[in-house]
Amino acid sequence: MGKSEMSDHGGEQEEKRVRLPLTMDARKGLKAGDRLLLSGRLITARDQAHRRLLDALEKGEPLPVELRDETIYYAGPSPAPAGKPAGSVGPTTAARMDPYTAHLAAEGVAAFIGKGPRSPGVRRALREHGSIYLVGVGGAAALLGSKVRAIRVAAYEELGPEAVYELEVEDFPVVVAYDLAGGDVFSHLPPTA
Amino acid sequence: MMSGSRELDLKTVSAAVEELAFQASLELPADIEESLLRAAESESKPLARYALRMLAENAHVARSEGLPLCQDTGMFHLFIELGEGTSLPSGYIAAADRGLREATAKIPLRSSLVDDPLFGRANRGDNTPVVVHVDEGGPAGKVRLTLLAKGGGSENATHLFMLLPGEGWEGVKRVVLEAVIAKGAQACPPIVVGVGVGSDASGAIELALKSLLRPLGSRHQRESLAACEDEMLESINALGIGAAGLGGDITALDVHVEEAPAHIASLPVGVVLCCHALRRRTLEV
Repeated sequence: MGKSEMSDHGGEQEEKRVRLPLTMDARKGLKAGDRLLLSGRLITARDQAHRRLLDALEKGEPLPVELRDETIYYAGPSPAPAGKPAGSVGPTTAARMDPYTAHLAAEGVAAFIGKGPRSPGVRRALREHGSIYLVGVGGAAALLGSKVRAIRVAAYEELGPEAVYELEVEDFPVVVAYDLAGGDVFSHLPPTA
Repeated sequence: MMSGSRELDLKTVSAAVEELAFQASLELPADIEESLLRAAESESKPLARYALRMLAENAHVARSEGLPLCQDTGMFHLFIELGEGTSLPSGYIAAADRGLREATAKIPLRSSLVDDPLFGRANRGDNTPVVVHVDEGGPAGKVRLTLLAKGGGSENATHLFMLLPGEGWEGVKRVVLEAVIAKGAQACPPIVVGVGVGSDASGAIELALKSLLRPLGSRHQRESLAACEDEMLESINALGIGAAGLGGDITALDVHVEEAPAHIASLPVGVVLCCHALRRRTLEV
């Protein structure tokens, strides 16, 4: 993990450069609140893709993409404008994927990227399976899209923006939300009823 | 040409909607961008400051690269305010849809609307239909058109409360905080909070939505409601949710309250949370 020259965001803490896939050793070294710049492959999946993936798992069918050690990004990109490698692609609300997350963590997914807090059940399941949760800044989608070098449809093309895309990213900024030691970047949030 | 009634022509409606969709999707309004920059300056928590600086940079990248501010390019609302002596031609809603369809293909925008929401959820491919709201109050002889692109994440944070009339402002304050605590962190904070008080259930939500069209920092002309806006903003920011929910001083950029007459039995309260990308643009034609 190298240091970044673009760490003028926010000052105090350096961004750590991280190469994907995230090995278990790399995951263990990360703490809630760490700022990371990811480079490598992300796999997008949002609402409808999750339903299909879970459906396949339930039926014992093979998944259309290998998920072990991969990083799932909850996102539905906007189309690439002419001459650009990708459009805008920020994180979507992670809590909508809560019902599916334990199952995908059990398949060996290394990390999930979304926005906002998750349920206590998801937090537990992630630790149990050695997966971490990272957050992107919701709405920083043009900036995040400018970190995408290549994009291709990996599955469920007919879902349009909800298809599974494979993204090749470089220095893609995220913050560690839930680490493997139980650290939680959202612990300050007021309790919901 | 100003004598008698002036009917807008369909081409003008389409062209205006297309133009407004370009502006709203690619360029953050100046009042929002300035507010984000001020927030990034004043925020005391490093992680939230990091997020706010990223949002300011995002507005810059969107403008310079021609990329949508957010991948969720939103569901589009068109607010039409007819000025004295103006009217709309039949077919104006379809004309607005044509403008949006053009913009969706040309920018390009993500297509975020599906048919058959309960079962099929097949993507419609063009972001239509535009949700149209018609009012009076535009400048004489002109029609004011405002386009608002509203993301799904923050739309999912909308709340309606039917309070007892006697609950008054304390009741309103309690439920607005309840809504922000429940969904604020998921609505892409720093948020803009719209509160509609009165009318009926659907009217309260509509008032809250329309309050988002006011410039940030503006206050209700009634002093009592202006004071409510200030008090509510302070209470929301005291929650500490912060930018991106990462903990900080600035959870909301502003709170706007709008009111309308209510039934003697009712005190409806609509709460609409808008993400920091408050994408609204106005043209007068």
